[in-house]
Amino acid sequence: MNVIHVRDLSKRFRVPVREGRTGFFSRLRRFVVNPSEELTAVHELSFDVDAGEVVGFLGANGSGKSTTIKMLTGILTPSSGVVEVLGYVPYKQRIAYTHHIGLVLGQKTLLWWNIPVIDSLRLYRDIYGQSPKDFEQRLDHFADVLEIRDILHLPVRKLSLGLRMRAEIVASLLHRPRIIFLDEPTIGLDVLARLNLKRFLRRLNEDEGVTIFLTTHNLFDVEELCRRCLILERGHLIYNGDIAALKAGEKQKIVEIEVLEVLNARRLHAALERCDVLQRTASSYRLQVAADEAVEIIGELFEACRLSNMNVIPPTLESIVEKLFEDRRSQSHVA
Amino acid sequence: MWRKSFRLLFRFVAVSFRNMSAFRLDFFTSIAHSLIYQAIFIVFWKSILTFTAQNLGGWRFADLVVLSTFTLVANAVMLWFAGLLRLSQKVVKGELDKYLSKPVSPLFALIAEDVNALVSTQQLVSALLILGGACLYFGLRPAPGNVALSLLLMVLGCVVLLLIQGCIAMLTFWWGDVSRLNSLFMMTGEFERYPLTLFPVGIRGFLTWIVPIGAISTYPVLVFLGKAESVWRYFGIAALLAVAWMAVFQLSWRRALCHYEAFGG
Repeated sequence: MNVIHVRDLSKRFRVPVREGRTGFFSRLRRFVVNPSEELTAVHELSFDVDAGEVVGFLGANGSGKSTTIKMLTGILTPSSGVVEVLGYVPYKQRIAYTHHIGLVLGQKTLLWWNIPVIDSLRLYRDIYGQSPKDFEQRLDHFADVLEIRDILHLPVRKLSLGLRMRAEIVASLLHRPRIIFLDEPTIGLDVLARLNLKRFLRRLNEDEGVTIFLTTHNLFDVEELCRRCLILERGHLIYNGDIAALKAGEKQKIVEIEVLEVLNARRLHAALERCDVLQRTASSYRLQVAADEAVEIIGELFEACRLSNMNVIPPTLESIVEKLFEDRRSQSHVA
Repeated sequence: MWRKSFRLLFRFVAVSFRNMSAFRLDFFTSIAHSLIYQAIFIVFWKSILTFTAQNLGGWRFADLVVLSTFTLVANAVMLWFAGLLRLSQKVVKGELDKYLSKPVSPLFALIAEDVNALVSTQQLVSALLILGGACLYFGLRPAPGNVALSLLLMVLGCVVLLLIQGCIAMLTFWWGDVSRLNSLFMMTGEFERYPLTLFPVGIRGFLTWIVPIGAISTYPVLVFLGKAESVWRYFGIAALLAVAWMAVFQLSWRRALCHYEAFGG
């Protein structure tokens, strides 16, 4: 069952025109008039998300991820298109709709800066009309799982980024949302904190069936948490499907070798000519090879050298997305 | 519904109090600031009247003290809506995200979040003490009906001024930061400290019909002292302006939210 239904969703903003004539009067006119032009931040997006899914929303800076999340949560009004979440039109039925969602913005706090975390949480309890008993039970549970019990009485401004993020996540979950939108929740977190957060989100999805819509720059997070991803580039949706299918479609593999001794320099040279050499030291190579030629090339490398170590690495989501962007860029250059 | 709203208001006021008292020195300085500011004006009127005459255009020292206390009460009322004055800054910084993603009226939340309850109460208490002292000292005996009407008129005046300030602040949704424009408007608020009847007809008309500063100080004081020529005329003007600006405010607010751009992040 679809919980998010988006069709031809667009958002346009007006932004100041920066380029133009450079003469004194042109600059003066620009300063006084402050001309603006329309920028399409999100261009005719269409996708659906099923209940209980964990979907990764990927894209470079300025690709329109946050704008899309803000339209899905009712913060922004779309310029055109259809958006329905849980049967609500977010920007029209905001108050009824927001009872059922949670939102975490990694780069913005939704807690009150100068007051203790617990006071912000109690305020949210009253805003959501949650019963004190349910609130205490949920808080008790999350305070243990996310280890924030010690910071509940500290003002938000005194928390580290990692602790603040945990508090933000608790604040977004206490009222039992059916969908949680996370906009770069792992930004600035150390490895351990990121690991804990991912573990927590996975459990939340499994135990409570919460649908998770996650944007992040860290593709490893998406790879570990999500089965499906949406990739956005400059406001355009360029991929919508399984991560596994995306990876299966990738026709390159990474081969790393450590050479003890070169037995046949000519054969080694011939083998290397069939690969992209990504990295090279005196005794090691990191190569990118076509998947269908990998076995043959590896055979040639074995014949040309005595190897101390060899790794064949399947493509990471990161490398695939990077390549996807590069391909798009080169296509647009050609066009 | 009402119960939930009151509980929410109470919670917001508590948050606002904690927020404002987070830095104690700054907090106590703000209280001292309002008291000193008021004392300066009372000393000012006393000095003027000592060196000029026993009254100023019909305003005796006692009347001017009452005027000062009414401005204090008006400020105390306005402090409950200080959040409206910060709307411009909040929109520019994208701080409405917090309210728009929650099941709460963003307008209610942004006003309630910045309610300056303690300073407001302190100003009200100060005003009542000064007013009570002035009535005893100068032998003023205002009729209870006049007291009620003057306070009602003053509150109506405050509502109109707040609605105008809110409408100006809402321009931020289209034009970006308009804090300076609002500051420019609030400069007219300085007139509240002086009897409007001392000014030329043009300025008096402007401060009655366009920016109704008169409705928060001069006219309520005249009603309080029983010197008003036409109480209902003052009420009529204030009510008319309140209805007109309320309509403008409501229409603008609905459209403004569609223009919110949620900057940052």
